[in-house]
Amino acid sequence: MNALLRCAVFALSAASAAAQQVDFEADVLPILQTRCFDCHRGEHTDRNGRVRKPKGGLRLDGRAWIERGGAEGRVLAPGNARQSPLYTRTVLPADHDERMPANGTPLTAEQTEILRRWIDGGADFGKWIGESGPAATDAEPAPAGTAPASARTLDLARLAEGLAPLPPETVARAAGDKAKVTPLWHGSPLLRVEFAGEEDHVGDAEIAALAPLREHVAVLVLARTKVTDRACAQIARMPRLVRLDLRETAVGDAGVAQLSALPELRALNLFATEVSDASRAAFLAMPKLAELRLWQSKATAALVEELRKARPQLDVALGPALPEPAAPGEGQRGRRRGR
Amino acid sequence: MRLVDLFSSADPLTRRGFLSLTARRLLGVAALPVLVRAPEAGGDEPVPLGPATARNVIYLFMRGGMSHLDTFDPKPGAKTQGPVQAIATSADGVQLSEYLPLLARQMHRAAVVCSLHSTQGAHEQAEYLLRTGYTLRGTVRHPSLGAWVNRLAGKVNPTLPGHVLIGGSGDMATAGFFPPQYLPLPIGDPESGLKNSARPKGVSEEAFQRRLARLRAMNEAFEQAHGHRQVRAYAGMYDEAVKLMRSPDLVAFDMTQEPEWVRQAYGDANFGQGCLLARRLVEHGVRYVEVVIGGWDTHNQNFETMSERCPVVDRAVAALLADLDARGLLSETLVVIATEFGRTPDIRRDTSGRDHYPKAFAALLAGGGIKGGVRYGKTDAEGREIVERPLSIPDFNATIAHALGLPLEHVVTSPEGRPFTVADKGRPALELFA
Repeated sequence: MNALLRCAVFALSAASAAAQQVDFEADVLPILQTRCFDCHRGEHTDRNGRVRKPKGGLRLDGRAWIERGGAEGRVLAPGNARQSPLYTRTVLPADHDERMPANGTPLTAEQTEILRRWIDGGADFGKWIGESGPAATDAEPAPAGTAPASARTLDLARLAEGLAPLPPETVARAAGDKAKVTPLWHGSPLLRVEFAGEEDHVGDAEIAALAPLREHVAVLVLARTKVTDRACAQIARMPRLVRLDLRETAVGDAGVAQLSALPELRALNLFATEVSDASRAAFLAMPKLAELRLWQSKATAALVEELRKARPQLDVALGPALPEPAAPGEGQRGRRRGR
Repeated sequence: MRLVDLFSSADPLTRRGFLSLTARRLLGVAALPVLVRAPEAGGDEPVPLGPATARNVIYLFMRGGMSHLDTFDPKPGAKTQGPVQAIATSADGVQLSEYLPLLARQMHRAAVVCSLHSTQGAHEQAEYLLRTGYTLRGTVRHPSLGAWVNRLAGKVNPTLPGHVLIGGSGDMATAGFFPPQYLPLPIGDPESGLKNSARPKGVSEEAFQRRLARLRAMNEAFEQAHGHRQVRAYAGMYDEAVKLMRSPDLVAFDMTQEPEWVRQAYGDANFGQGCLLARRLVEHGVRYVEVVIGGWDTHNQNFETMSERCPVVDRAVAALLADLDARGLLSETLVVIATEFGRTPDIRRDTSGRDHYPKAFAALLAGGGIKGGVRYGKTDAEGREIVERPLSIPDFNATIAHALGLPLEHVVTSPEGRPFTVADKGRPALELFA
């Protein structure tokens, strides 16, 4: 068969396969019943009187169980067979430890193809429910994925409530070719905006261009860019801004004064800026400020002292207590490299 | 490095991969082939990331198996402790060995993990497990954690490498079965910075432009005839290299920019200067920097060696944590101190040394959303057995991955069709997060 013909045959079979809808109860369930249920169903007593628990904590005998996954995590990512162990574990090389089914012959190519198409097509269960699902207390916490886990991320998730993600075109237009704009996590409407690698070409104009994103920006990194106090007027209009990094910029007291009304600002980095003690009132006006960095700015120890007194919870420091230079003989250079 | 390792380290090994590796080893052409990102080589689908508490990682690898009793998990008064005293730290209830007095003042920023355990007790296998999350096998080379981070989360600064390895040996600079753009950039000596990154003397800018134009013309014809992904990727490497040569971010590698007092604060040793370089790289948007220090394999004269070795790390890490914090970088930078295993609580009578001990050992995590001033897990009164919250190596790697928001279940398939995830089946220690 020459290559062209082979291509044509492949295309034809692919087309006919796509045309044929996969039905869960008619096509997928029989595979699960005959090849998977033996190990992956609810606890039961087998013919020899032995109590058998679902292997790997995974049950496939109910829709909710399949969606929950097993001890090793989710097994089904609807729309993405390549990320679904329910499919990938069946197509491992024959000698692989983790190939499923663990016993008996492997699934046929036709069967794995049905699984793949069913998952890639969205994993529609139709009306099938099967065995009733895990109780709420039984549900294992989803392993790190898209669910916010720490207090920090829960706080951010609250902030995003009621906010819809922006259309990608809007984001791309505002970002231009210099800003790197990413959601805080997959599906979050909140955005992180940074300019790493483009700092020398970023000034107040690039910040003004972010206006369409102003409701969504939560983290803004402007370190080492050419922004000035004028950019702060634009930044002040970002109601969900949580973290602002202005280190090594020309921003000074006039800029910080405009930021004082930012309602959600928690972390403000003013390392190596022009900010001085004159910003005292602006700092104290920031309702949620928790972390302030002032090293190598014009602020003095007196300001830090005052801020600490007024806001004991504020993490503010002027400079690092770096270790004193070493005594002679300590840690000689380049000794004992390797083990 | 032996020739056979060359073959096994790039998998599958292409002719170009072989040439590039050989050139790196034999000719010392270190920088450019690694630095450049081949934009279309991977064809990787976008990965849905979870919430991240950290943006960058500075990973400090104590190579050789650092004694837990003589550093992060002291047992004052126990017969296994030998002559070493424990000291109080800036965190209530956390003690360190007397070898780490400067770090003791930074412990309110750090969490000590006292319940690590490994399945491997020999250096090569244990180091491999720590760096990749997988057991060393003959059939596949697994990517290191740094390669995973860049593969799943991408670069921050597009002109700089996403992964830099300072002071490591040649065999550590692999990306396993990932494409070559995920190889770390190896820096041998932090003070000599990045090599081969400037236009050669005697080649004028015009001549350089002419050469590039000629190259492009030649490539264009070839690309049109053979529009393969790898061909485009190779041509793209030149564009990226030229971009880097012109990048103002190259200054990140220039240690002479640092004031003398800062350099002294980090310590004169290669490791201290490596930590300082790591800070500079993270400031410029390099996502993953690893700094390696060896000398921990204390089968002989454990206490003498530790009393010389620890001050280097003590000074460098204390300076790094304080410096990162004052620059506002610590809250988004996860600093990790890790080692492949601990050392026996029993002290050898014949050599005053300690042998390999994978059963229980310690690590340190700081910044990047990690709780400060806490201790995770616990060993018994003699440092022999874990009695609370054991953490396996895959769990430890999963914790780092979780901080970066990497999806632990995202499967990347090797060229042979086998599925792998960032930390194998490890589960993150969520209690470590603030």
